Amino acid sequence: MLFQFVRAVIVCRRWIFAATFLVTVLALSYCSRLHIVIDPVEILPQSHPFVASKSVLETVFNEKYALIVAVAPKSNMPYDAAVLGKVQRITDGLRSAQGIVRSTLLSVSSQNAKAISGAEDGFKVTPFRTVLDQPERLRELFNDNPLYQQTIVSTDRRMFAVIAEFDPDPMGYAAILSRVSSIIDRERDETVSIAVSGHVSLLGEIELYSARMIILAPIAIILIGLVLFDAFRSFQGLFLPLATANLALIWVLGAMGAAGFSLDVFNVSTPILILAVAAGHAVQILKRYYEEYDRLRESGRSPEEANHEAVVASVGKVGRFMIAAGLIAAAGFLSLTIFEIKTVKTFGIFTGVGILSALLIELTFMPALRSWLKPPAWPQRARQKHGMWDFIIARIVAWTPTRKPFVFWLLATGVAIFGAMQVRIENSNKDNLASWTKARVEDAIINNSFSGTQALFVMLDTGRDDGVKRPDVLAGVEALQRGLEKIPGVGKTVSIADFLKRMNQAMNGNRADAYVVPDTLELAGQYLLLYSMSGDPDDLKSYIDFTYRRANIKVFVRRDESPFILEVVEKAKEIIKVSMPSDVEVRFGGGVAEAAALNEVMVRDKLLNILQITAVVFVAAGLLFRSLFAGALVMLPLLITVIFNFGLLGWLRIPLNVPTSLISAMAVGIGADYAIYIISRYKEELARNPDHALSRTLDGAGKACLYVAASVAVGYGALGLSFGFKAHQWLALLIASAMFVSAFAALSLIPALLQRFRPQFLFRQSKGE
Amino acid sequence: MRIGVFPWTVAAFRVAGLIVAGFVFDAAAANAMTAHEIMVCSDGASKVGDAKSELTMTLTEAAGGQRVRKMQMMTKLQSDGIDNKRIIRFLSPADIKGTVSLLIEKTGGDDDMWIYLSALKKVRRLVADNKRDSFVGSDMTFGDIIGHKPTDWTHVLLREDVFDGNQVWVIESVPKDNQVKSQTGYAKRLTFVDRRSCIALKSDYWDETGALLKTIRASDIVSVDSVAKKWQFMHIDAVNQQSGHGTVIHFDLYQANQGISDDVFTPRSLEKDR
Repeated sequence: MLFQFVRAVIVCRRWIFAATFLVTVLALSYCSRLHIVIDPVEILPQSHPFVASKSVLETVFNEKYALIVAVAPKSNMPYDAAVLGKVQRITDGLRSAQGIVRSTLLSVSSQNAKAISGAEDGFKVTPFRTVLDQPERLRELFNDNPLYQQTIVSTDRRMFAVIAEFDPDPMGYAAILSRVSSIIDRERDETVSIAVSGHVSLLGEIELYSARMIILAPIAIILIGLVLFDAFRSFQGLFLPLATANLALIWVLGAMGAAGFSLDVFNVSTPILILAVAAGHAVQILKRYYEEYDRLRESGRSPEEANHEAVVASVGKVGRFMIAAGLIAAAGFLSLTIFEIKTVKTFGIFTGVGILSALLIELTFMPALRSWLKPPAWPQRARQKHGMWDFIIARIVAWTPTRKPFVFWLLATGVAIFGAMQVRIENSNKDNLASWTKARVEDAIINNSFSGTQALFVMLDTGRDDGVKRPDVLAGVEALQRGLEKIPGVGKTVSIADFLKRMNQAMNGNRADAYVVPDTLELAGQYLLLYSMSGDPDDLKSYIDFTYRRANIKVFVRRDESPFILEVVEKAKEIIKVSMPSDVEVRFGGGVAEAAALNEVMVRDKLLNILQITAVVFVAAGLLFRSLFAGALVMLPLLITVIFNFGLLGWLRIPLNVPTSLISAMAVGIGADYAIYIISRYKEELARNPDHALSRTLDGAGKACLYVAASVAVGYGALGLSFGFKAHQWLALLIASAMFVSAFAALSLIPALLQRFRPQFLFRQSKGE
Repeated sequence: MRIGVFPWTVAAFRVAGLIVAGFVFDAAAANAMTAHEIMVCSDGASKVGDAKSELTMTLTEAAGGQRVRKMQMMTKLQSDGIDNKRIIRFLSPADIKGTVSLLIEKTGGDDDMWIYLSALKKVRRLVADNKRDSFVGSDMTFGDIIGHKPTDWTHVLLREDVFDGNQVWVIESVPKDNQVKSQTGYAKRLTFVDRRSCIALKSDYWDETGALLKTIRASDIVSVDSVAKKWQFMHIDAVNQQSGHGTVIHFDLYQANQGISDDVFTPRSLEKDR
């Protein structure tokens, strides 16, 4: 039936070309509708406690995405006038920057930074900005107001920081960074050093590094093409698999645009998977085409006849297994739509539809195109024999009847499992960048001089207006802050309690023993009223809500790895259990908490993805070959690939985080195809000539697997050149590993297992046939 | 034919003539007023010898949360006829009840302010750069309440207009120097001054970066001293255009010229009068 179908395709090839052209143009037009979601948190389930708190944090406390700019003199001079002037100009410039949350702008020259001073009969509120030209007075005010130490001024009083919060920008963090960089850059000169950090800066830099993909992806595609050219020694070999892969990609992007799906940041590397799978099928067909063409020419057919017949034979013989492999993989990926998380659904649909598109193209457009193209030259010595590929295949053929494959894979898998057991589940935005990159260096400068460039927020809800003024709540806040400050890595904590303590001290003649939280609700209320008389209604918005029902404790941290953040959260929960009234509800949030949530959810779900796809592949392959053993065989290279990926993570101390778990989930999409092609070809060759079944299988389908694995691995190896950006280098390493491990596992282990166990599904049927 | 004229009719016509002449004169004088004179008129429009009032202040945040405060306020004009003494006693909510503040305005200098916290039972002098600070946590600054000194600003009469059915002058004011700009926090003001009372019916304020910051509207204007031609708004609302905060102050009671003693406006009295 497939043979007839391909013949019909060749006859109607003009229509196929026209239809392909139209579909591609249509898809391209819909690609522009594809909405790209930049904010990773939007993709997370909003029910996650760290994510659910985001709306409270943003709407109640105005906490958005922080940017920190720190200015220090090259000299050792504290309170340097030039530095203060620059801080003032940067503050003024940022005040009118697009997207800034003005009430959060904090620096020595912002209106809301006020020193509270007390005397026997008086209470004075002095905005720091009014004494910028009086270094002695500034020193005095900072000494009296520990609240601002290490937040806007460094311990040695040389470095001054400007902290600003920004609304998320639809164009991403890099867009915010680019808008503010002119304000900052004009203050750079030989007298000062200026460092920039914070959530906006780090994520903005990561976006800029990610944008290297625009250059690296074409390089990867060119390298893939070159390896395929070397393998096939023909321009068809170079272009056709890439054409299938790229057309499939355009179609699926168009389909997603038309259906109103959005593409998120976690799916930017999914095209690699589609490219690898689509090229895999294309190479299998193309490889078979050349085999058939050579065979037909040897039998005396004319080039045109041989070309047509080879096209029909290649698709007819390999096509049904390609359809089966494609459908199994697509079913596996489409089954991910049952997941709650949008990005996983998108990943499933994106990959599933991409694979189906590749199948359609390989069954229609590619046979039509190959039948229309000029027949290949023949005899083509270079195509028939070339060293490296044949050498590898010959080694595997020699290996297969021995115990060596089993010993090798058992040992290797054992080593990988040992490595996998040491994998750290850890997400850190900073860790995406190498320690020598500008962003990391500047982050370290600010981190060392201030209380931390990242913040975790602990939000309290007392359930009723004025609840935060309660002495028991304030005492709980105080205990929590002091407890958290003992954790190494926590720089400082700031809350409404700090303001109230300072006011209490100032109102009591600056007595040291009066630096305590107010002991009555009324006194706290009156201090807050007093503070409101000397500022703006929004001055305390970061710490307390409008009706004094909720409070926010800022926990400045110097580290952002998810296990550390979770440790701080756990410690906070312990203290809260003991010190906070039981009617106070506590939530945690902020960029670092969201990143920890993201890691927890994404890693867990990606591991579940792997299990689910593996299960679907096992069942579907079992049904295809009507054998559980076959199901297990197909599943095997896929499992080994995943184990090896985790082993690499463990041995190389690469954390299991969002990008690395995404790559591991992609790896399961590759191994199954190889196994199906090898088993089906082996079955075909067994029926033809059992004595040469192994060598012919490996020389045909096996070599095609090798071509694809090598080309994709080399292509994406180019990402290893993305110096400074570890996420790209992890991608390069893990994709290369996944491609080689899945190919070698399929090539060496499956034939060895088939020969050793001689499963009934293969040998009985082949005997029958 | 001779028409008999009663003496009272003549008198009535004379009075009417004077009234009409007065209106014509007033109108002519008003038409002749410069932007600066209008703002001086506006600055003094509500300044009575003394006044006692009770007011309800409702603060609203963008998300809809509200805080309601009741206060009693007493003011007394100082001997220079420009500056006020102002005492504010908080009546509710419960936690701030009994808190009293005393403000002695000083044109050309920092105002003096004292605060009595009932929970602490202490009077403290509060020193702050208060012209641009919030008036008791509202969206108005002390400067907005006290009034911005007309001589600190350059005023331009943009047009005459009708606002809420009232004839108004529309005056644009910009600070004379950066110090005024920094002290008030405003780069520009646009004031709709009522031609009848000189009360600012609407004022728009632009912040130091040039962005529209807030709008204050006064309504329910009543005459509180017909002799001295003093007027008072009974309702005022301010909306911060950037944060979405809003403040509404409603005067539940307003009595002018009650002969309030100077002794009321001393730091000592804050404690006594609790």
